[in-house]
Amino acid sequence: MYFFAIDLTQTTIDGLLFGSTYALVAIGFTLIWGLLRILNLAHGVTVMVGMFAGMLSATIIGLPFYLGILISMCAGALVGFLIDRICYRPLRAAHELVPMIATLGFWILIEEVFIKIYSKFWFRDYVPFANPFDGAGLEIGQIRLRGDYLVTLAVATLLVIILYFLIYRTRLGLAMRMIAEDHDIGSLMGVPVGRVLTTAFLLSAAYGGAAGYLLGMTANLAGPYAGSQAVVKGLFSMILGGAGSIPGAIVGGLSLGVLELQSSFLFSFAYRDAIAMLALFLVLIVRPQGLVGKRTADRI
Amino acid sequence: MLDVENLTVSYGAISAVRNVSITVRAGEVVTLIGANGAGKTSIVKALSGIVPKASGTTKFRDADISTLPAHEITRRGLIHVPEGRKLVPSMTVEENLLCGAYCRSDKQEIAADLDAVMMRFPRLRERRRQIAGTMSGGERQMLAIGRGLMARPELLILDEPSLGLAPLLVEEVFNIIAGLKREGKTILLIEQNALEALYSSDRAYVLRVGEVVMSGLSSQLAEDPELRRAYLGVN
Ligand SMILES: Nc1ncnc2c1ncn2[C@@H]1O[C@H](COP(=O)(O)OP(=O)(O)OP(=O)(O)O)[C@@H](O)[C@H]1O
Ligand SMILES: [Mg+2]
Repeated sequence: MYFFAIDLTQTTIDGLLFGSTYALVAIGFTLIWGLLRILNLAHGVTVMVGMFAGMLSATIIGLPFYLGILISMCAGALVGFLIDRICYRPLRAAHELVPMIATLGFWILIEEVFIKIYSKFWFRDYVPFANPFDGAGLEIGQIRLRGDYLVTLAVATLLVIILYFLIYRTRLGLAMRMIAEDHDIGSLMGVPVGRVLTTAFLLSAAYGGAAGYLLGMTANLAGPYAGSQAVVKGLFSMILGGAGSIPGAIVGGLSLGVLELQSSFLFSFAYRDAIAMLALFLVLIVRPQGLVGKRTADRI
Repeated sequence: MLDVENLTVSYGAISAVRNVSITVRAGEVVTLIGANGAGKTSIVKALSGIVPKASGTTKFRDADISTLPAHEITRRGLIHVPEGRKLVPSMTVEENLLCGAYCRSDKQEIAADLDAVMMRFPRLRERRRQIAGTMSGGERQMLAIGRGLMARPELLILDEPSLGLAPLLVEEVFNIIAGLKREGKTILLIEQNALEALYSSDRAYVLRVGEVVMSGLSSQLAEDPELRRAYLGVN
């Protein structure tokens, strides 16, 4: 019983630490949802590109962690720029579903092309991702905090603090909060709405890139399907926490981390996703707005 | 100050405004009156650039602004306080006011203007930390006008500032407009309260289904028997 309690605590802590990567992915989804009411389904591409940029810098070139993560963020942001220019800008006058479908197309196209390229270079499903924090850790009594998980949490926390600063303390943030309410409010107050939205795409994609690095590093692997997995985890976290809410993305991501690790610990790894889905379903029956989302007026 | 020539606004196949020409001179209060659906809001939305113009030209302070994007028009001092207020309900009163000053960078002047707006509307000072979404209709309208003033407007467009307010507050809104007029502000006022609007303005345009059917000095239009019967519902 005692050991079970320890293991349970250990799993919960691991889940919280690891869940911070999901929170980062969910933040990217929630930013774009909050500003545009579009599900940016191409967001996973930023994670995948960030992961491979990280793998190249960490494993192949051997750059230090902090540089690698910056490179991943830049690589992600580049993808974000393309998403804005290809999927959103030309189609913004159309119904909201149209840019969303464009992001779906972008996702599928890039992933297919990437897999073709990937299979020319590597003949395995995964390539190793150097993890400088492998084996490192902190022991507190019976609980062990993995070094790479702690670093992941630290990076995620820093990025969340930066995001809050941007949103609540800068002109850019003021503009974003106007636009999130109504694009016309922004225009009438003199906000160049298109430019602010481009920045939002860059920002959310940079966070996706960082998440890609951290996911690759903690798993010691980079794989070409990382983007698709990230879409599922990120959307799940966002909706679990409350779409459009940044605290929601954080709570949702951390909850998903705990939920996944606990269900593989308590039940079986094979049912991990099924159990997580069941939990989402149950939460949404009780709280349709998500764990911390606010009930908003119907949009129809 | 503002010269609108042959403005036409269409939504798909429906044309909401046809060949409307309007002039506002510096220091004037001009009102645009007309029944529901006459096209008043469409005109001012086209002026501020948030709906496209099918045709027509707008000159503002001697420059052609017909093709400028909305945020550029705002930067030139044409400030549109929209119908329904359009505040950001999740922001505080003070943050909403600062939204109005978004395109300014003179920190000290902004702080001074913030103080001046709160002097003008003491209610806003009392509630500066209150979330805008929880304010009453009258307070919200004051906030919307205050936010407009924070932009230092050259021309202030007020779209139905008295909409949805109790009679006492409607009077309050017209008092505010009279105050702004005394200070020499240039205002384009849109109103359903036609008689009140005529009393508080210099000139007026009367719109009917997308066209200007009458225009002239407000004092004369207020006495015009035909207008009184047809549009003002008084004898
Ligand atoms: N976005 C839109 N799409 C289609 N038609 C519109 C749109 N906005 C306005 N209209 C139509 O254009 C016409 C003019 O509307 P507008 O809102 O300009 O009138 P208004 O004079 O401001 O009326 P109110 O006094 O009710 O505010 C109306 O027939 C309206 O139905
Ligand atoms: Mg109107």
